[in-house]
Amino acid sequence: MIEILTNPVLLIAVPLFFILLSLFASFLIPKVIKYLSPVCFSINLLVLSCKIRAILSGKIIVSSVYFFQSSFGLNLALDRSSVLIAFIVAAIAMLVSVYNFFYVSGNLSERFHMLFITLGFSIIWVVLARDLLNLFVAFELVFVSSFVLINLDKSKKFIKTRSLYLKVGSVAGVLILAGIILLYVITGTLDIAQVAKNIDSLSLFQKAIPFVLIFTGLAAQGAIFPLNLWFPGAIFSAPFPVSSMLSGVAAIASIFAIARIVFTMLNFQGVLPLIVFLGVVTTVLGEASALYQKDIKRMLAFSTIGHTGILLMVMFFGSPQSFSGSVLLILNYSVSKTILFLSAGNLSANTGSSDIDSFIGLGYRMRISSTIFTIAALSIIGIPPFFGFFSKFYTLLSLVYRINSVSIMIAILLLLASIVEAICLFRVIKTLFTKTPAIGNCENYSLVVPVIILFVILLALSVFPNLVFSFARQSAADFFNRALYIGSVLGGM
Amino acid sequence: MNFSILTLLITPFVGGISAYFGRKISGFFGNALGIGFLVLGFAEVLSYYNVRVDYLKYASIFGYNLTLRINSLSWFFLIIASGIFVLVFAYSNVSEEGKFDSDFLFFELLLLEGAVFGILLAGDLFTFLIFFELIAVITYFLASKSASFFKNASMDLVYMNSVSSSFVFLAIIMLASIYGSFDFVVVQQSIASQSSVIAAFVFSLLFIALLIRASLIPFHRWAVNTYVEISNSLSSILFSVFSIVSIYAFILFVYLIFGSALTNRTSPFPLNSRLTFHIISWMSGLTILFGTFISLLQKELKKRIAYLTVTQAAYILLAFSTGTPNGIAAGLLQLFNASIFMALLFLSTDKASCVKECISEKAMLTSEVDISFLGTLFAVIALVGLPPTGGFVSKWMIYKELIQSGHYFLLVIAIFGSIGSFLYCYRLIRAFVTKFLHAEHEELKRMPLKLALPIVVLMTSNLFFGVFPGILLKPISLIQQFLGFEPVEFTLRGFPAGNLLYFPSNLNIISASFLVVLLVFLFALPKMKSNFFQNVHVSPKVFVERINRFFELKSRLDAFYRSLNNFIARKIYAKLLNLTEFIGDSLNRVYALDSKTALYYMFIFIAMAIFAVLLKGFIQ
Repeated sequence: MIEILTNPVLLIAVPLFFILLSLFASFLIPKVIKYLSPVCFSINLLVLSCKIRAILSGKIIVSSVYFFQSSFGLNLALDRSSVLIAFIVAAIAMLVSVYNFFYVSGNLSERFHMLFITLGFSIIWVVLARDLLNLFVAFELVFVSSFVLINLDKSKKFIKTRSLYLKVGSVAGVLILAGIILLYVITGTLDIAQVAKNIDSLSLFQKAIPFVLIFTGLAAQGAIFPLNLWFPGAIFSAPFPVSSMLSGVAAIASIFAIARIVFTMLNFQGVLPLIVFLGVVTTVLGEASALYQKDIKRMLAFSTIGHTGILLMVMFFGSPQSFSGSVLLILNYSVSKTILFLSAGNLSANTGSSDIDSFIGLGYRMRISSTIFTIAALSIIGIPPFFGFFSKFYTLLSLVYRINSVSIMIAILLLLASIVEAICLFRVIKTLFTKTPAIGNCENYSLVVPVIILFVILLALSVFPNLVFSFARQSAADFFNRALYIGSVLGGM
Repeated sequence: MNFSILTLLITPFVGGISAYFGRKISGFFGNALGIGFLVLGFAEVLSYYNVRVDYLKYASIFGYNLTLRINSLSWFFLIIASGIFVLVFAYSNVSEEGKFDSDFLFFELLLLEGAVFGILLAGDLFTFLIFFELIAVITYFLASKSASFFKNASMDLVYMNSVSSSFVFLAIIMLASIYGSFDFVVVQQSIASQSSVIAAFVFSLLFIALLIRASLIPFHRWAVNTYVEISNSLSSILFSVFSIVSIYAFILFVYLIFGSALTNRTSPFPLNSRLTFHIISWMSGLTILFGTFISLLQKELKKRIAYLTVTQAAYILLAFSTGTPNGIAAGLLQLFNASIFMALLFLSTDKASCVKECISEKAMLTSEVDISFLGTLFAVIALVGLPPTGGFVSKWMIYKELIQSGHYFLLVIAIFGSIGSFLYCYRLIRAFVTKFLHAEHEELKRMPLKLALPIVVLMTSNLFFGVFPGILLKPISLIQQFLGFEPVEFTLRGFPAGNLLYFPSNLNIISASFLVVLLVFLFALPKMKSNFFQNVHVSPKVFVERINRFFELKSRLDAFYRSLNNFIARKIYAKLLNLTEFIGDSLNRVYALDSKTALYYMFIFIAMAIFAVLLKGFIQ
C-alpha cells in the first residue's frame, strides 16, 4: 500500500488528476481552484520526500505505467541529481502557486491556476523522464502551458514576441520529434538506458544527427543562444510568477535533459567543446545585454540567459567535479532567481510598472521585499556569506581542479559574469535605497509570505552549505556512472 | 584576561546587532551598546599584546580546514583599526544622529569593523576572501547612505571592488587548486619549495587586485569619488579600512606568502625580479605627484582632501616598496600615524565640509572654530611631516630609506608631495585664521564636548606618539622579526644616538614643549589671547598676500590642467565610450527580434553546428 502511495508515477498522475479536478471545479465551485495547485505540489513534495531515503542510499528508482500493454507509457527514473532538481521545482512551484493566490485575480484566474499546475508538473516530468517519448510529451506540455500562460491576458501589446515564442516552440517540438523518430529508426527503442546500452554500435553520424535535432529543440526551451531570441520578450510579457518559473526552473530543466542525453544516453564526449562554446557565447551575449536594460524583468531575463550559458559551460566541461559544481549552481540560481522575480513582482505590484527607475525609494517603504531582493541579489552575484558565494567558489574550484587554459578562461568568464551581475543588480539596489520624501509602509504582506519561505530556504542553504556539497559530489559521481544507470533502469524493468 | 580569537571576531558583529536593536529602544542605549562593544573589541585586541601566534580551527568546508590566527603583524593592524573605529564611532554617533536611516548606519559601521577583523585574523585564504568580499559590500552600503539618485560613487566603488575581488577570487582558487590547501602557512611553504609559472600568474593577479584596493593612480577615481560624496566621519573610517586592508594584504602576499619566491632567482618571471617593488614604488610616486598636483587645483574642500587622502596610502606603499627592514618600519609607522591624522583632518573639517562652497570664509563662519581649527592645524602639520607630530618621524624615516636605497627621484617626489600638502592646506588654515581674526569672540560657538572629545584624543595621541615613537617601534620590531628581518633599534624617545634619525626624534620633544606653551598661551588665557591678536593683526595679512601672489601661478596650471582634461575627455574617453556603446548595441541587437538578424544568426549557428560535426567526423 505504501509502495503505491509513494510511487513516483504519482508525481505525474496526481497533477493530471488535479487538472481534471479543477476542470470540474470551474463549473461547480470556481473559488476552490486556486487552492488546488499548492495542494497538488505539496503532494508531489511528499512523494519525493518519501523516496529520499532510498535515493540517498544510492539507488536509482524506476517507475513505469504502460497504456494497454503497449510499450508506451509513463516512464520515470529517479536518481540523485534528477530528484534534487525535481524537488527544487516542486518546492518552487508550490510556493509560487501560493504567491499566485494573491497575485492573480480577475476572471481568467481559474485557467491560470490550472495551467500553472500543468507547467509545474511538466517541468518535473522533463527532469525525470526515462524515455524520449516522455521527454517529448513533457517538453510540449511545458511549451504549450507556458505559451498559454503568457497569452492569457489576450492583449495585443506584445504580439510580436508572443508569436515568436509560438514559432520557436513549435519548430523546436518538431525538431525533437524528428530526432526521436530518427533515433527510434536507428536503435529500435526510445528508452534512454536501452539506447545507452547499444550506443557503441552506432556510427558518428547515427549519433550526431538525432543529437543535433534533439539538442536544438531543447536548447530553445533552455534559452541557449541562438535559440533564445524569444526568451527576454516572453519573460517581459509574462506575469511575474510565470516569468519566475520559466526563468528559474524551466530553462534549468531543459539543460538537465540535454545533459542526460549527452552524457548518459549518447556518451557523446566529442560534442562537449561545441556546447561549452555555445555556453560562452550565451553568457557573453546575455550578460552584455543585461547591462543595458532599464526594465527589471528584461534585466533578470538576460541575466538568466547569462546563467544558462554559465551552466552550460560548467556542466558540459566534462568532469564529474565540474558537474557537481553545476548542481550547486542550479540550486543557487533557481532559488535566488525565483526570489528575485517574486520580490520584484511585489515591488512592481506597488508601482504598477516594472521599470527599474520607478522603484526609487521603495526600499524604505517596502522593507521586507526590498531586503529579501537585496539578499537574493547578493547571493546570485556570489557575495559571502550567502549560498551563492559557496556555490561560485566550489564551482570555480572544481573547474580549476585540473588547471589548463580552457578551465582558467571559463573561470575568468564566470567571474566577469558575476561582475556584470553585480553592476546590474547593485543599480537596482541603489535605486531601491535612494532617499525619497515619500514615507509610509506599503508592503503587501500576503505576497511576501511565499517569498519569505524561499528566503528562509536560501538562508538555510547559506548556513549549512556542507550538507549540499557532499550530495552534489555523490550525485555527480552517479550521473557519470553510466553503467549504474543502465543497470538499475534495465534491471528494474 | 585572555579572550578567544573567535570571540574577538564575533564581538563587532554581536555589537552591530545589539546596537541596532538597542537603538529601537532608545538612541542613547543603542549608542552605548555600540561603543561598549567597540571598546570591548579594543580591549580584547590589547589583551593579545606580545602574543606571538595564536591559532584556532573554527570550521571546515569542502574538506578544507578554516582557521583564525593572530600574530604580531595582525595585532598591530588590529589595534589601529579598533582604535580608529572607537573614536570615529563616538564622533559619528553625534554627527550622524538624526540623519536618514542612521540606525542602519551604525549597524553597518560595526559590521565593517567585524569584516576588517576577519581579514586581519584570517589564517587561511578562504576566510580572507570571505571578508575581503564582505568589505566591498559593506562599504558600498555605507557609501550609498548619503548618496542621492544622481551620485555614483557607490557604484564606482562596487565596480572597482568587484573587479579586485574577482582577481583575488581567481588567485585564491588557483592557489588552493595547485597546493591543495587554503592555509597560509602550507601555501607559503609550498610556494617556497616549488614556485611554478602558475604561482607567478597568481601573484600578478593578487598584485593587480592590491593596486586597485590601494587606489593608486590610475585606479584612484572610485576612492576619490567616495571620499567626496560621503560624510567626513565615514570618509575617515573608509580611509583607515582601505589602507589597512590593502597594506595588510600587501605584506601578507608580498612579504609572507610569496616572500621566499620573490627572493629566489630561480622563480619564474615576474617573481624572480624586483619588478613588483619597482612597479609599486613608481606607481606610489606617480600617485603622490599627480595626487598633489590635482589636489592643488581643486576648489572644493572635500575634493582637495579626497586627493590628499589618496596620496597618503601611496606614501605608505612607497615605504614598503623599498623592501628593507627600516622601510617596513617606516611604512608601519606611517600607517599608524596616517590613520590618526587623516581621521583628525576628516573629523575636524567635518562641520566646514557640510557647506558646499567650502574653503571660503563664508563657510567657515558657520562652523565652530576652536577645536576644529586646532585639529585641522595639527593634522596639516602631521601630514606635511613637521615636528612635533607623529607624521614627522615616519616621514623622516621614509626619506632616509629612499636615500639609502638610492631612489633620489622618488625622494624628490615625496618631498614635493609634502610641500604640496602644505600648499593645499594653506587656504584651509587661512580661512580659519581669517575667521579667527575678524569674528567677534563672543559669537564663537564652542564645539559640543561629545564631538570635541574624539578630536582631542586623536590630537593628543598624534602628539604623544610623535614624542614617544618608541612605544610604536616595539610592536613594529616584533613584526620585523616575524617577517624574518633584523629588528630596528629604538629607544622610548625614538632612535638611539648614532642613528641618522636621532636628531629628528629629539627635535620632536623640543617643539612639542614649545607647542604646549603656545597652546596654553592661546587658549587657556583668553584675555591674553585677544591682546595677542590685536597686536599681530597685520602680519598674517601680509603673509596671506604674499602667498596669494604665489598662487597666481596656480591659475596658469589650472588652465593647462583643464585643457588636458578636455582633451582626454573629448578625444580619448569619448571614442572609447562610442566603441563600447557600439559593441554593446550590436550584441544587444541579437535580441531585438528583428527577423532578418535572427535568420542570419540562425544560419551561422546551423553552419557552425554542421561544420563542427563534420570536422569531428573528419578528425576521427
